[in-house]
Amino acid sequence: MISRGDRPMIELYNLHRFFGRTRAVDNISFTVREGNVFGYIGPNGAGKTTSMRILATLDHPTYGDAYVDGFSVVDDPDHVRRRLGFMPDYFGAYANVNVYEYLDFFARSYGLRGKDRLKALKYTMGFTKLDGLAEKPMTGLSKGMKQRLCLGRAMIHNPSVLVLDEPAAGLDPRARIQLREMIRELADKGTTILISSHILTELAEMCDTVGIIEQGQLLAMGTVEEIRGETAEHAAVHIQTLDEMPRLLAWLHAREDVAQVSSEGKNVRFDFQGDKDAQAKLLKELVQENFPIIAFGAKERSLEEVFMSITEGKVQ
Amino acid sequence: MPRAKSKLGAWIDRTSFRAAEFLNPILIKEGRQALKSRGFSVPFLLVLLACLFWSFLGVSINENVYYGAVGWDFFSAYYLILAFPLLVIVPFGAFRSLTGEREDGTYELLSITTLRPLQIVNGKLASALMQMAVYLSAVAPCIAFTYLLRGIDLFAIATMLFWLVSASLLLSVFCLMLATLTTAKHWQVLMSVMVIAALMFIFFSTFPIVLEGELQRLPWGLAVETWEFWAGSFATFSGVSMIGALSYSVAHAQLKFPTDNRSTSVRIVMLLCSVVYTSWIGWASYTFSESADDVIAPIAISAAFFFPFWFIMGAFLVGEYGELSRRIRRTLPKTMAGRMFTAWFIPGSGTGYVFTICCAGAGSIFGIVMGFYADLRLPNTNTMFRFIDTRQLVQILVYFPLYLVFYLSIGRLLVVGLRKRIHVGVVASLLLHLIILATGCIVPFAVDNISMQTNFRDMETRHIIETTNVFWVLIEAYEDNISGTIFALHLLGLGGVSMILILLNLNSVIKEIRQQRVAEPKRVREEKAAQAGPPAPALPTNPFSD
Ligand SMILES: Nc1ncnc2c1ncn2[C@@H]1O[C@H](COP(=O)(O)OP(=O)(O)OP(=O)(O)O)[C@@H](O)[C@H]1O
Ligand SMILES: [Mg+2]
Repeated sequence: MISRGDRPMIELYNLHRFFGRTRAVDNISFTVREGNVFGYIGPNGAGKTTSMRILATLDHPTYGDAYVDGFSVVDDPDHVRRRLGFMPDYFGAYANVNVYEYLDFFARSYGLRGKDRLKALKYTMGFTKLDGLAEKPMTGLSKGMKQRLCLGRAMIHNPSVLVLDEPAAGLDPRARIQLREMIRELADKGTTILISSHILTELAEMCDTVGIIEQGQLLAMGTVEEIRGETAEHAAVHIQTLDEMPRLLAWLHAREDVAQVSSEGKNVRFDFQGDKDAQAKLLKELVQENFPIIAFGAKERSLEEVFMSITEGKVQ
Repeated sequence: MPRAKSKLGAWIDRTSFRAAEFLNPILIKEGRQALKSRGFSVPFLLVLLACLFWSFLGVSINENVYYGAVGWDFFSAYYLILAFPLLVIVPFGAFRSLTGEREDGTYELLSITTLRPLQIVNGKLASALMQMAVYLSAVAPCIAFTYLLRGIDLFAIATMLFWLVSASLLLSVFCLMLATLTTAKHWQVLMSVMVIAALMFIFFSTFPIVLEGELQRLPWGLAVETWEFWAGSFATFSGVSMIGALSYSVAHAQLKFPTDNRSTSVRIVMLLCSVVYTSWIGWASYTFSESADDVIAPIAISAAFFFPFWFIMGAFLVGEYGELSRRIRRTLPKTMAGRMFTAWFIPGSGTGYVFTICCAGAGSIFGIVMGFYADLRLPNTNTMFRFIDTRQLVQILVYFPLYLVFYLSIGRLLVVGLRKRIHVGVVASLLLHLIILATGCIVPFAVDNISMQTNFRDMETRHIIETTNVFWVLIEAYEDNISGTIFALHLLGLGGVSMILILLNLNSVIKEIRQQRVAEPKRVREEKAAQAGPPAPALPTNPFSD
């Protein structure tokens, strides 16, 4: 995918946020340019929410700074707020308020008046497919409706930057696809989007760039292809053998470039470090060793596996 | 918008739509919520029922209804019925509406909109006012009925309602301010229990005032016809408004962004409070007095409110952080003269310390000058009221600021020292100061009293032992038990130590006021220029916005 603009809309510079001993965000820097979708991926407790809250001017960095459209979130929160829409990972409902009144309240709070407000409401309700739900009380919404309403609230003032914290959490497959389409549509119109998830595959199709974060540190960043490429030396290998399973397992275990061997009946699966040439050589050696191999398959690792190998699953 | 059928309907729709554009968004939202909420309609109906019930009951048990002037009896009952929602439900509702939003996470969503903190406070207050109006309208027919019963005049009704609404508004602002003080859940729970208890107490303490008809004669039992009544009422009202203004400015400041200037506006209101207070005291004691004693005694007594106020304010101000954010440093005055003049209004522990000492000192000098002036100008009648003379007044007005400087200086040194290890906020700073004050009083008092049991001492020695016990010394000073020698010794001791403490504090104070102005970043200047460029389209402005 191509990047649309050169103007940096989100910039993080050596961002730190400590909670006592916990380093929730530990020196993160990156830039997202206009109209790009940045996927922010990491396991639970990685520091995604914390850094997004700082961007949304809800929290304060311990060191470092972040900029939205050139305005510091520390020094010029008023300018940042005008151009940023934030969708947190919680709902934030009012009692006795319906969908329309909720959006209307936030439209007014963002200073929209008169015709502007009505236009913004109409557009947002249409975009998030909330038209039919206008009179529905907020507290009676399903998860999918709630997420759409949250998105609607975040975009009511037509922000140029959207920060979405796990918007796909709890959505069914159809709703996920809808969400993806909405996000693409917003990005195509030039909105810069930062979106978090703990599932890489979920974001792979809609992000221009992804950053993988764990324990407050950015471990890898680039396009999905680049991230996959960094670990392209790895392959998941599957072998079927007629016999001699114990000897095969021992032989595999002895090799340096083989890891995570598992066997089941006549099948063996393992993680192999090496490109296509190395894989061909491996097969040759297996045959030379007189193993009765009847099937050999190697495939690139899935994004899940890439993600698992980059992050170590450590929790603070 | 619902489609209107008639032309008039359409016009009403259009007009109310336009009018709503001017209103605070919070007021609109809470108005809509209130219309649907049972938490609002139930108390409203209860008030209505209580009024009806009392009307029937009152008419059936009171034989005088047909002949006598029983308006007052009926009115008191309706008034107390109205006082419950106005003094308890509405202020507590204001408290809960903010803490509740914090709990539900909606406050965060609201705070990152372009709504300013002041608009949030105003919106909450406007919504409290709206509720008051609704309760008032529920009771209004009954009150009109009491007027028809005679025995109460319109003026009395108006004054009493005025004070009730003022009290309700004051309590609402105060509760709102309390709600902004802490975001920690357990403190909020504790605070809400205390708030409801305090409000109930206030409500029940209105009973004797109302039943004895005190409110009609506010203040000091003056008759309505006299201009003193109006002056006194106005003074009372200005006092009430000052407390309200202080709460309001604190609430506003607490809702500001952490790098914003949270202090200057509060300091200005603090100063305003004490200026208004001292002016009224000065003016009233002059106008109402025939002898110098009538002036000096009120001054000495009001000092007992003035200085504790500044001690508490000072303890809060000392709890501020001295390092200015870049955002605040952009607003520092450019010129040397400007800096000299405004330095003590700029946020910071050190500037707050100096600010407090200056204000307290100014108050003390004003009081002393007033006393001497009265002594010169007014006859000294030697009446039985002569219980405080100028010499005593000077003693009191020297002791108060001296103790203030003494305890505030120790407190600040401790705050600055502790900050090298832990975070100390404004509330922690106040607690610290109160602990230091308590220690300074209890320790010598205990030493004095315990050792008294073994060897008896004369009063003079006891005064010396109790030097740091501000309560002891000031009570003795008010009772004129402090001799010149003891006063001189106290002055020497406390004054000397305070001088050293001030010097110790000075270094960090100077560091604070030396902070330099920083230029606005280019991006902000660009934005301002862009905004100033094309004329903005005329949007309706919000009357509650500033
Ligand atoms: N207010 C807080 N006080 C103390 N620690 C906090 C606070 N907020 C976050 N943390 C800590 O910071 C770390 C990062 O938390 P964060 O919520 O940013 O993670 P996350 O990446 O959003 O995780 P998840 O996928 O579970 O949402 C965690 O260890 C968390 O315990
Ligand atoms: Mg999170």
